[in-house]
Amino acid sequence: MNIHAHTSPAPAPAAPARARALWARLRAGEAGLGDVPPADDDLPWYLAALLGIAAWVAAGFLFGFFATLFTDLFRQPGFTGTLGAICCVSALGLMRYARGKAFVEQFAVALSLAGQVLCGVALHEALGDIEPHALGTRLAWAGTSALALAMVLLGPVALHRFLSGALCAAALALTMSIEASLPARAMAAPLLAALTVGLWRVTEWAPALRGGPLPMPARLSPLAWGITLVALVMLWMGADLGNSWEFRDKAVTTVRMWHWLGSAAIVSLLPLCAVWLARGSAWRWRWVGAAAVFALLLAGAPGVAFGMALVLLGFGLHRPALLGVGLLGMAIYLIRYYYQLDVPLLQKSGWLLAAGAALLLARLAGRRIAPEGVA
Amino acid sequence: MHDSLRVWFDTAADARLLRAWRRADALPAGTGAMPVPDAAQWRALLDRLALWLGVALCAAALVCFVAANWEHLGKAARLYGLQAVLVATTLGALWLGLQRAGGRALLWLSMLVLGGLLALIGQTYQTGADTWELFALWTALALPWAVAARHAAHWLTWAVLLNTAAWLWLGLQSWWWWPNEHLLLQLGLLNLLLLALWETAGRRWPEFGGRVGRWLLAAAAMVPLTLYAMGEVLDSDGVPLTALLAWALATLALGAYCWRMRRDLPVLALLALGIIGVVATMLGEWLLAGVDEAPSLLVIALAVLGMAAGAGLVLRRLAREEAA
Repeated sequence: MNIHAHTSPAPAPAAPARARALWARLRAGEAGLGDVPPADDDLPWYLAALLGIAAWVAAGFLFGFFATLFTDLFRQPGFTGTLGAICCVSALGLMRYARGKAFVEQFAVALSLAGQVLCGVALHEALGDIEPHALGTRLAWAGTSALALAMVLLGPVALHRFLSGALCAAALALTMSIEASLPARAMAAPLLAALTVGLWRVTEWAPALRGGPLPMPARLSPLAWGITLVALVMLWMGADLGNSWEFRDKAVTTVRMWHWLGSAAIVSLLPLCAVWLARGSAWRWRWVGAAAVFALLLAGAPGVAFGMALVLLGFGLHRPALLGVGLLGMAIYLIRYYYQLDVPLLQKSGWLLAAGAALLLARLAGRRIAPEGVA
Repeated sequence: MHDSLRVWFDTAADARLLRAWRRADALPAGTGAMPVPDAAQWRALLDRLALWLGVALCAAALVCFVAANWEHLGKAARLYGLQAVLVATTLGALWLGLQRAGGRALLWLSMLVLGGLLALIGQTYQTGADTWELFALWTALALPWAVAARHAAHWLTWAVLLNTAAWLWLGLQSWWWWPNEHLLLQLGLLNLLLLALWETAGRRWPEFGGRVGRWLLAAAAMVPLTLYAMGEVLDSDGVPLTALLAWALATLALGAYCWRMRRDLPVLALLALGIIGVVATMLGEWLLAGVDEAPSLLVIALAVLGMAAGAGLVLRRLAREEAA
């Protein structure tokens, strides 16, 4: 994961050797370039993980602090909502006016998360009783998701965009899953998977969309990270829909049909990625065809095709962390797939063997018939 | 690593800089186009991906097949069939050559087929397909495979087998002087030992030189030790000296090693997260027991934020030093 914070106003340290070399290459082709720009305050994946987990833990304690401080008022939606809104607005102010101060930034991120959760609680208290079909609960989750998205767009700190993005995606998934209709439940994971692929695609359009009303697409990568991780979790959790007790009042064929439609929507993202990534290649449509065959063979295990799509995207976008997450996602999904109840083990074995053998044969064929340089 | 993939990682570092400069509006429009992998790099990736994912899917297929316990296939056919697969994959690996990626991948599959065969024997003769004895035997028998392959994937798989065997065995052990509540401590120490061996071997053999193995073993050692320390702080009436001492010594030793000798920032971040977790748990246990809850919760939140911000500053400085 490579999530970036904004440029610190503090004096910039000396540019690393790699930056100097790259800048020299750029300057050779562009006359107007000045000195090497200051080193960006970069947040590598391990730091994003450390600060992200710490921010959530601190947000939990802050939430507990407010809940115990105002025990009597806590069940009143107006009070909780106002408190949450004050937390969110204060957090945004702190993020904007205390840039570069590590503790204040970290506090602002935690305060924002606590504020968003408080607003979510208020929405649930206010709307939770609206029937039928738990409409109020779903509206509350939708409101939480919308608030988190607004915070993504308004907050300038990358870690905050990442964590709020994940909260936005998780609340969206819950909107579509909690006591929801079968089609909505079946399409929750595909929607998040499509959003993931779409956002990673958009992050590379930075020069074309620069200066628009929304933050620069290159700054959307923290949001893309948040949605990617939630999409993977949704895929792991939603794997058993075809055998779910939630829809036991529906015909088995209807439930399975929606399950398969969802799976088909997810696996179709793999050839779609191939269409994009193989542009300009002499073998473009052969790669797309190969990706489609692989996706079809593993239509029952869509997490593998989605993981593969992340691997290809990570490679095409030069993002090693995304590639790693794709590989890890595939491995965890395969373990989950073993316990998936709606497909018999023997059938699983057959599909996995077919897909594995197809990959090995494709590699063999590629080595024998693809001329050097064709990819 | 394949040369094209090494070039890709190098270009990825440049792409990261370009993205950073774009975010800071330091590049004029049209300057610094994002790099795109060339044909040779795509070829190298797809070649490796097809090989290792293909083999992993075949291994997963085998696990599902054994678990399916197909009644239409007789006992002898199943046992001899799997033995034939074991022999075929091993011979195939030797035929391809263990210095080639294909041979190593096939040998990795063979290592897993070996476990499948043991599980099938356990399933057929009702001795159990997930007992500690089975995993211990698998670990012992898989050792020659790992030695022969000279590849990190085989050694890490072997470490997973050893961990599983230890987990299952230790879970059954309970003596009056050493109850099995210490399972996490024992597993953490086992993995710390494996990490020490891995790092020592890394000075001599290149297959132990990569950073991913160190990360995985460091996580396998420190996550159980940290959870153990946190659990003991919550459960004990007094100060759980054994748990805290084991965790603190492991953190200090690994921290010193990854700071001074082999600068490894992801491991240092993992240790920092452990420190935050244990300190927050101790604060929670001691503050929430005595005084008013609300201020205590605020103090803990601020302490967590302070520690995280401090760790972030130090790690960022180290990352800049590393880049320069």
